[in-house]
Amino acid sequence: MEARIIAIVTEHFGIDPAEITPTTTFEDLDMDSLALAETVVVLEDQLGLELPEIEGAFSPAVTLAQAAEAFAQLRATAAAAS
Amino acid sequence: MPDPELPDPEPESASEVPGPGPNPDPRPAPYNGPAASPGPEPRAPGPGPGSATPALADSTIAVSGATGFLASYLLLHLLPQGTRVVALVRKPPHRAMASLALALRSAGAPAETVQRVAHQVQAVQITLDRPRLGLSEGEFQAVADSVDAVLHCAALTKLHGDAGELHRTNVEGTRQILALAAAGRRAPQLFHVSTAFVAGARLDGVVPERQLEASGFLTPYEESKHRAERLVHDWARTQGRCATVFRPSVLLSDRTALPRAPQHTYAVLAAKLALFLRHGPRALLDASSAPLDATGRLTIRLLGAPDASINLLQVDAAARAMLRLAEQATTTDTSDVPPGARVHHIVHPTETPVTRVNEALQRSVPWLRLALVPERPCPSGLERAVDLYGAEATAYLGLRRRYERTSLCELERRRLVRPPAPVDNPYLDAALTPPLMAR
Repeated sequence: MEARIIAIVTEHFGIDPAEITPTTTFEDLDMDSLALAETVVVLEDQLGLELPEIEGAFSPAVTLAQAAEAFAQLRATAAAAS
Repeated sequence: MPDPELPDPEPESASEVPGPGPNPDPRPAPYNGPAASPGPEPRAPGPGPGSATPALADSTIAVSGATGFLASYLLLHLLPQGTRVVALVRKPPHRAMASLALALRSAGAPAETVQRVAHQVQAVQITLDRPRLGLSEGEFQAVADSVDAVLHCAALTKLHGDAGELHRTNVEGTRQILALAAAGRRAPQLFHVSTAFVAGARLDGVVPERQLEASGFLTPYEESKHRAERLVHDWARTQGRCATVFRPSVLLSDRTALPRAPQHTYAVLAAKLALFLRHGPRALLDASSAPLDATGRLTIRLLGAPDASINLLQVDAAARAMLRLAEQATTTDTSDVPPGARVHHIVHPTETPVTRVNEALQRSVPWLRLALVPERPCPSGLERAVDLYGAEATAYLGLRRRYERTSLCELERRRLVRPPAPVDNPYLDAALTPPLMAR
C-alpha cells in the first residue's frame, strides 16, 4: 500500500521520489487536505473500492507510512462489508 | 508599466510623474541577512505629504504570502520589469523558493520569468503573528530598511475558520506588517490586500470605497479582515503616512492549477464538490432526501435569495489593476494629499448571478440540480451536509450588493488598464473544472 501511495504522490503530484521517506508527511510535500483527498480518489479508482469518511480519516500531518496503514485498514473494512 | 496591448494611454498628469524622491539610493541593496550593526539610521521623509518613492520597477518590495494565488499573479508582472522581492514566507527559504517557482509556472509564467526568481527574490522565513514577525531585532530592521514598499497579501481565508486563528493570522499578522512598514528607514509604501467582503452583512446597496463601520458579519473571516483593515486606516492616520487598501472580490482563473500550486477559492470549492459527489446520486440519498426526479437528477436546495449575485473577477485583471494603482501611489506627489489609507475595490463591473454559478456546477455534474430557495422547510441530511461542506460558497447566497468602482473606472477611462472581459459561461466552466478532472 505504501508503494502505491508513493507512486501516486510522485506520478500524480510531480514530487521527486528523493524527497520521500516513510516518515515524510503530506504537509512536508506541500500537499493540503484537498490534495490528500485527491490521493484517496485515485486510490479508490486503482483499488476499485469506495472508501467512506475520507475527510476525517486523514490529515496532512500524517506520514505516508501512517496513511498506508490507515488505507489498508479501510480497504479491509470495505472488503469485509461487501 | 503600460500594457503593450492597450492603445496609448492619456498622458499622466503632472502630479503623477515621478519626482525626485527622497531616497538617496534609488537602487537599494537587497536584503542579505541581518545587518552587522542594526543601529538606528536617520529616516528619510516617507511617502506621506511631500514625497515620492521609486517606481515599482526600481523598487525592492517585501511581499507577504508571496507563494499564494494572488501574489503569484502579481509577481508574474513584477518580476519581468526588474522588481526585487523580499518574500516573507512561512516555509524554510529553499522550500519557499520552490513553491514560488511552482506558483508562477501554474499562473502561466514563461520560463524566463520563473528563472528570475533565483536572481530577484530573496525568501525570509517569518512567523506572521509573532512580534517582529518572529525575526531578531537585527533581522527585522534589516528587512525593513531594505524595501521601498510592503505588499501584504498573506491571510487565512477559511471563511468559517476558528475565530482565534483568524484573528492571529489576519489581525495580529497585519499589525506586525505595519510595524515593519513603520520601521523601514525608506518609509516604505504600504499596500494592504483586504477583501470586498469586509462589507460584511450589507446585503444590498453600493459599498463605498472608504473605511467601513462594522455592521455585522456573515463569517468570522470577514470580521477578522475588517479589523485588519481598520488597523491599516488607524496606522496611516497616526503615522502620518499614506497607505493603499485593495479590496478584491472573488478572484478566479480559467487555468487549471498545477498539482500542489495555489488554487482560487472556487476551484477548491468545485474540487470539494466533485469529491463529495463522486459516488453518484444514489450513494448520497438518505431517508430525509427527496427522491431523484424522472430524469434521474438529484435536487439540492440551497438557502439563499433567488436573485443573489456574487462579484467574480479574473485574477489577471485584478493583478494588472492593483499594480497600476500601486504604481500611481508610488509615483504620485503627495504634497497636497492628507495622510490616510486609500481604498480601491478590485471588482468586476458586473455582478455574476449565483444561478449562473450553479448552472456551471450543474454542467460539470449533470445529475445535480441546485435550487436557490428563500425558505427550506425540513432540510435533508444531504442538504445540511452540503451547507457545511460548501460553506465557502453557501455563506454568500444572499448578497445583492454592488461595489463602488471609481478607482478602476478612472484607470479604464484613461486606458491605463483594460476593462475585464465578461465572466461568461465558458470562463466559468473552465474556472470550476475540478483539477482532478482536468488532469
